[in-house]
Amino acid sequence: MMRQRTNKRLVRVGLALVASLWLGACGSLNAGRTAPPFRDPAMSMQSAHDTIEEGKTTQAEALAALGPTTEIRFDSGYAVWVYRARTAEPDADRAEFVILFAPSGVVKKTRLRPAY
Amino acid sequence: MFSLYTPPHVLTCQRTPARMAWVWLVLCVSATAQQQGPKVEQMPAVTVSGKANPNPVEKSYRKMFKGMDLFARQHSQSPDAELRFKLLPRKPGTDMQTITLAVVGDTVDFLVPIAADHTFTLPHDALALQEDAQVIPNRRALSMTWRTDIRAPGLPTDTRRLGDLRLECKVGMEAGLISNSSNFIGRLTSAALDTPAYCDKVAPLYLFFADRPLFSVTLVSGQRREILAIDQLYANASDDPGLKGNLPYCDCEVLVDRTYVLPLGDRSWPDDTLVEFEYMEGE
Repeated sequence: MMRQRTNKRLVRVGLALVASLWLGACGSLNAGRTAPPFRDPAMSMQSAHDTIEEGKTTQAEALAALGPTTEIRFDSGYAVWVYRARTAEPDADRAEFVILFAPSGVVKKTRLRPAY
Repeated sequence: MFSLYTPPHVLTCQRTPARMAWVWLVLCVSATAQQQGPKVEQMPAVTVSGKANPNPVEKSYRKMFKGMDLFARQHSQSPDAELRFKLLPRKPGTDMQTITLAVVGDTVDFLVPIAADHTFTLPHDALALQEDAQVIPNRRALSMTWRTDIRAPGLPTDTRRLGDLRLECKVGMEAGLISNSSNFIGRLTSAALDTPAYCDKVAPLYLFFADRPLFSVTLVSGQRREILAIDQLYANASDDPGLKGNLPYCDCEVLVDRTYVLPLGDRSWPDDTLVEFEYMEGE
């Protein structure tokens, strides 16, 4: 019985801890509405954009600077990487930083899209 | 619902072997005629067979005519544009340079000239309507797809007009031009929605194809500018890890990098909104 009670108490404590962590995470998203999608959480979309140099930055350098993300690779050899701000609401419009890599692996174009 | 791909055996059953042979005789002979030139003596013999091409990618003349009729009724949405239909490749390696297009019914048949940009217009033909004729290119099923092409003249370079694209969607749906199979496009289009009313949804998943591979698409109306989100480009590839496996069922298979969707039913964007394209190549 005692053991059971202890276990129940542990379960309750555990659940409370998980809930507080989850609420804390939601709270941090809600506070700023979005969270950065980069390896460095302090990096803004604009600073990420400023980090990448068209015609010069390579995929390896972008990966090192910004972290991994979604890649769309085309048969033509071009590839698009997209960094999207994280939001608490799944359907919310999100800011994006998009990088186009030429078949050579060097950045061809970039664009910043704000959340509308 | 977008018109789902009709299985080849269904098409085959709709036609007698003799009729199919005749259809392909028309197409083969006309293709030969198109290719004839100074070297006509070198042309190989044409073999006519009912099994020569049992899977043509064909469309209903009646349905396409209905699309033309809708265009006439709603022409005010694109007052300066004309309606053309367009053929696009669907499979890698599809030869788009020597296409022959014929309208074929029980007794009616005529060829339809195709422009260098793979667009064409259909003439009004009462007999073709009466006989429920088919519009038949000399290509196998699923090798090509179809769209409408409605372009106001005089627009800035690399732009389209939203009203033209709205009408393209409506006419395309009415004409039954979209050919997709499997559940892929069913998921994209929320299933049974092959009416022009689908195009009035705020964000219909009617796939448009730009002239070249896209990097960015921006809506511009006066001072208002909005860049399309990445999930509105490339057939939603950014959110669909299974896209590659589904692509054979989508008529965007070889056009993914040119694919985009628009908020057609969002009337806060007027018909004169410009859709600006930035392509992968170029500045």
